[in-house]
Amino acid sequence: MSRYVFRRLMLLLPTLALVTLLVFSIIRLLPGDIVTLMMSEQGYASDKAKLEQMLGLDQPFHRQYITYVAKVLRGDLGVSFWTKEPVLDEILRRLPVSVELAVLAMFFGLLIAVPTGIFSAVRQDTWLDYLFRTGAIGGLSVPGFWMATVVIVAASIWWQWVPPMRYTPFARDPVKNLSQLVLPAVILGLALSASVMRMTRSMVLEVLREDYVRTAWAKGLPESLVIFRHVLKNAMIPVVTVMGLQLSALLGGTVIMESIFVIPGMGKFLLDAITWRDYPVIQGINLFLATGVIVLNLVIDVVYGFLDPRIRFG
Amino acid sequence: MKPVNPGTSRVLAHMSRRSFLRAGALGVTGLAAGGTRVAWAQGEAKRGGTLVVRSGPLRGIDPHLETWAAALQVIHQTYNALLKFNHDGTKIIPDLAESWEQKDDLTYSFRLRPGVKFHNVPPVNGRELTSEDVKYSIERQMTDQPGKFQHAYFFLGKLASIQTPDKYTIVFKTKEPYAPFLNYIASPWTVIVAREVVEKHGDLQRHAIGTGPFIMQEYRREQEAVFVKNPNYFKKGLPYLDEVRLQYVIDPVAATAAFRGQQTDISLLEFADVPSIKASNAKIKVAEITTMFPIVLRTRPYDEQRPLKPPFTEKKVRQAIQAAIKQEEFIEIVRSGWGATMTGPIPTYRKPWALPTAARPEFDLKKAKRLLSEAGYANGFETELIVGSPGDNVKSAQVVKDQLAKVGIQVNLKPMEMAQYYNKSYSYDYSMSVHTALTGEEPEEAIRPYYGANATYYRWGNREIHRLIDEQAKILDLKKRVEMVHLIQRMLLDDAPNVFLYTPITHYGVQPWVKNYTVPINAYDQRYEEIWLDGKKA
Repeated sequence: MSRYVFRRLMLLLPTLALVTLLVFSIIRLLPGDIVTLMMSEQGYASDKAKLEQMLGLDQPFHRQYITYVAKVLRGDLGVSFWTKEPVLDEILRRLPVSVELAVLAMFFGLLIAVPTGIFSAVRQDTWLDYLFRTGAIGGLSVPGFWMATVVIVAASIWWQWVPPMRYTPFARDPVKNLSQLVLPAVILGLALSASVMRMTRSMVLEVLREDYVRTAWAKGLPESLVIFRHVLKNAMIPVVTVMGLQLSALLGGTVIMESIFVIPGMGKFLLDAITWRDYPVIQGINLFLATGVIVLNLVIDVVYGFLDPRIRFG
Repeated sequence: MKPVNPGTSRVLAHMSRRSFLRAGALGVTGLAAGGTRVAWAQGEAKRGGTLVVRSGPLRGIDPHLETWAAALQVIHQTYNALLKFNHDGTKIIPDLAESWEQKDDLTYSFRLRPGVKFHNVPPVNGRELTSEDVKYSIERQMTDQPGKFQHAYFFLGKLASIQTPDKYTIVFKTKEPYAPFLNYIASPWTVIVAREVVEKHGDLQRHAIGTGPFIMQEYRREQEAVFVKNPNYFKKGLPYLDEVRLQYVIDPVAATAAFRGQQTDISLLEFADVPSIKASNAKIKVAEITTMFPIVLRTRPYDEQRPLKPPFTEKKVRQAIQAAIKQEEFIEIVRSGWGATMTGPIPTYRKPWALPTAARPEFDLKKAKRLLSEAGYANGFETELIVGSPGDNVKSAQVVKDQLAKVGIQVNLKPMEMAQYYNKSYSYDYSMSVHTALTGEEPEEAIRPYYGANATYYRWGNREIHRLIDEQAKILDLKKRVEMVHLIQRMLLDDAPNVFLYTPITHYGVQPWVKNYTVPINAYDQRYEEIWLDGKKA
């Protein structure tokens, strides 16, 4: 097991190398380069060559890349071209916020999805099943940004109420922190729960038809034991996969939620960086996100082993 | 405008939009129509409380190394300049300097108010401001720092000497007569900073320690900035507030919601939300402020390296485009009426520099068609128009397409992402574009960077205009300079490289408990030292 984890972690390196190379080249290929953008701001630098030299963009591509990788290996992600703030600091300031929001959204998502999914499967084709399934389709079809807008606009018009816009770190005041994050987390969770619910339902239905479940029924086990011990555990594998994918998507930040609920997370930061062609910031965030996705996938694979003893690591 | 019921209010809102158009046509902005700015002072001044103001994206807050207007929300609270503009933007009044005089064409002498103290925080610890600080600050501002944004052009290469004969006196000598001098001294970017602070922190991008009414306590970029009252502020009795907080809200929907939910006291609002906000509470005030960012339709730029290309080589073609453009339609369609018409590159509220209404190019389709056929394009032509997306300018581009189609010019729209748009725009290689221009208190800021000899925002190779732009900066006599600035603008209207579409009017919501808020001439002027709160938050 530990050898497996180690091998997987070693695989991180070539993957990250590839990701950085891709990101590094793609942003440089985009039409609209940072130098012209900066020149357009009054008095930034008098000549183009000088500015390119200052930003290190006068070097040939491979040299730029090697310099970058060498710096990254020393834990230096560079400074933002525009604000001159260290990229690592900026990311570390925002990442915990995005992680918290993602985990909260996941929590609410599961809270809604798993019970309704199980219920829908066990009571297949009852009116409650139809209701939950309709709800799930609705959750999939209604975009989160629309729901967020409606919630915030309606609440502000009807009750002159909006969730606090001032961000407070969890460590400083958990209540204030949560009162800002709960609403967006629930909205994100709703959208997320739709796919998880449908996955849970179909998997539970499938497992319910397995022989060992019939055996369990035949043994006269109570329903709760059959469902939770025998069915759910085996039905969860694809559900965990879906959750993992969703969580890694959430880590990248959710621009609209962050903008509407004024949450200082990664999404807006990344979007701005792309808009303003802030190469070091784009590269830094992608490095973090790629690492996050790989580690999450690893965690999911390890979780499979616990859920299904037939899965061996080797 | 007090709504009786929502239905009436809608009618009233519409009426006021119409009258706005008229006001614009008369060469004044909506609020300036009465001649004076409105100060919403009621009752007796009260002390204490926290004012929360919506802020926009900040990149940094160093007054000498920042150019985004949002930074002024911080700069105005924490620093002072030698002089400043009054709320109308029409007159220069004392700030740190108690008096000043112009001794001859080249010499300006300022006398500092004695006893002005810096904020009582390290490293300055409340020491007194002296003429040395002024000298240091101006020299810092005019140092060309490659790789940084800056306002060095205000004074770089213009000053012969800066002398400090005593603690409270500072004397500037310009190399030649320099008409913009006082305007740039009064600019909110030309504030006085302390050497120790710069030396301690390297720059002032994260720290704001000055002589201003508020002391910055916390600054978290793209979250908030918190200021507390400066108890030793040199203006006795000010400020009234204990605390000011700038709350970053980027999403317009969220900003309106936050204002409705009383989480912000002053907030920039979208015009579409204004009627319903007014209807929800008649006591809420909405300040209408004309921006300093006019929207301009450009034709192909040119200079020595990049000659004009047909059909824009023909002056008559450019004039035809000018005659085919109807400003009112842009204001109605793009801004639902919230815009002011323009007479030239300088927004009309910028008096006396803007051209009078009579000078405005006439909308005349017949004339446009005649000009086109005289230029040999009787059947029109096809051209391309680039525009940065997203934003109002895309809508304006659609109106341009529509209006020019009426004289046979087929415009193909090329909306593009901002970065790509800037790239095209600043390589001066495009046929037409819709662009947001920048202007300033100093009139030449609306002209020199666009049509001057070393212009960077745009290029227009008319040598005579270049010469006159250099000339006007040397004319110290106000009346004569105004005449010259008018002449330059008339020449620009005749040469018609750009068609001036409109200046947007923006809305600032002000909660009923915010008292003594003076509506400034433009959003740049965000001073909160005279504001007090009364009957806060029901």
